[in-house]
Amino acid sequence: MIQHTRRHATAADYVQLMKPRIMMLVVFTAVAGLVAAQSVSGASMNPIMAVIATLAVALGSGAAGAINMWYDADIDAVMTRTSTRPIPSGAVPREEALAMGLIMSGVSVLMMWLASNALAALLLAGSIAYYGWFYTMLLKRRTPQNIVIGGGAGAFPPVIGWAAVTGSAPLDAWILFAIIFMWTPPHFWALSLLAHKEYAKANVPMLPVARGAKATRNQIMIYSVLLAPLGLVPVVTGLGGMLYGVTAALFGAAFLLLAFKVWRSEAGDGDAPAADLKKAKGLFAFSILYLFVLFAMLIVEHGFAAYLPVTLV
Amino acid sequence: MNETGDHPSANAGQAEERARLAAQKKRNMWLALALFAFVVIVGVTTVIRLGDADLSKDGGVYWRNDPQPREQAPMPELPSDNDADSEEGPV
Repeated sequence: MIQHTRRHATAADYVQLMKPRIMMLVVFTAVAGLVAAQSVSGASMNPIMAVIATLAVALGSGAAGAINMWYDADIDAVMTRTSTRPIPSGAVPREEALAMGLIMSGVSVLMMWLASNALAALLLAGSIAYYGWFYTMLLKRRTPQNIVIGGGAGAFPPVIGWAAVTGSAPLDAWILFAIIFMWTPPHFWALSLLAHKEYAKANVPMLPVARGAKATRNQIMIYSVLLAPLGLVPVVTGLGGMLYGVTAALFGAAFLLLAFKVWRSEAGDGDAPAADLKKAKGLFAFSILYLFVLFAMLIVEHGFAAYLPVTLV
Repeated sequence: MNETGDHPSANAGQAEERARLAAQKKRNMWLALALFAFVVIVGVTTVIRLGDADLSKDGGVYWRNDPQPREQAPMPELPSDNDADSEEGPV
């Protein structure tokens, strides 16, 4: 275990507890759902209420992150990548992180209810419980499929955004859910191919640890093959227009190509050359860009009147 | 001993205590700000909700200010003079 001396917590430590990078992606996808819902359904939301609902999603994401850091403090201390986090570094006491997570959970759900409706608040509460309890406490240390099932937690934000506007969660919202759900395994497994020794040290049964690097590369390829066409489904339902369709096709093809390169490589194997590790790193970085760009296109099309319908013969 | 006559470890302890209090004060300020922001948000949402709500209708929020009149039972019809003629009187 990596030992750190006790230091005084700063505001930055509490911000770090909320996993700000994950929060940014969560907020971004929620905003995409919010914007698309207004354009597709014709319903409108008071802009101040929309900002408060977005803030509630951010708080909820931060709350789940704090609960995750509270529960995983022991394994975070073992892994080099996470040993500098606020709890293992000694800046924030564990119980303080838990209290922060629980209070923020309540506040975020309440805020969402006040700003929108009960369904959006319920979905937000569900996604916090999904990540903070179901994934963190039940799945992560028990099954190599932890990422696959746990991916549902990160997929909720666009549905929450949609529900905040319309009070319902139609098929289009669940298509966005499915895209993030299918995106999570290749995204995270690309990272775990690089950090599998750390996970083994912490006894976390990530796929490369439990089934080996080759099985992980196979799974990355399978999920990428499913993800690329799934990214185009919004065009079929009319949610995505010309701009979205072209972007999803190009980025989907690039995603497949990078996944194929990882599949052909020896990334994650004990004696993998540096060039192969670079391929896994490349897929990980590109996957973030892929999701960001796809949802950005939805915002551009529906929020800035750039929607051109695609006619399917 | 240092120039002020204090033991170095005592100085270090005081500095540590000062740093702890400073950090605590900073955290408390952030907490106060967060609480204030929450109160403002609740206030703003309430004002907007009340502004948007149509309180004159049954579906308005929080209260109902158009109580419906109670339904009255129909008045029984009084017998007319003709009806009285046609009826057989006491013999």
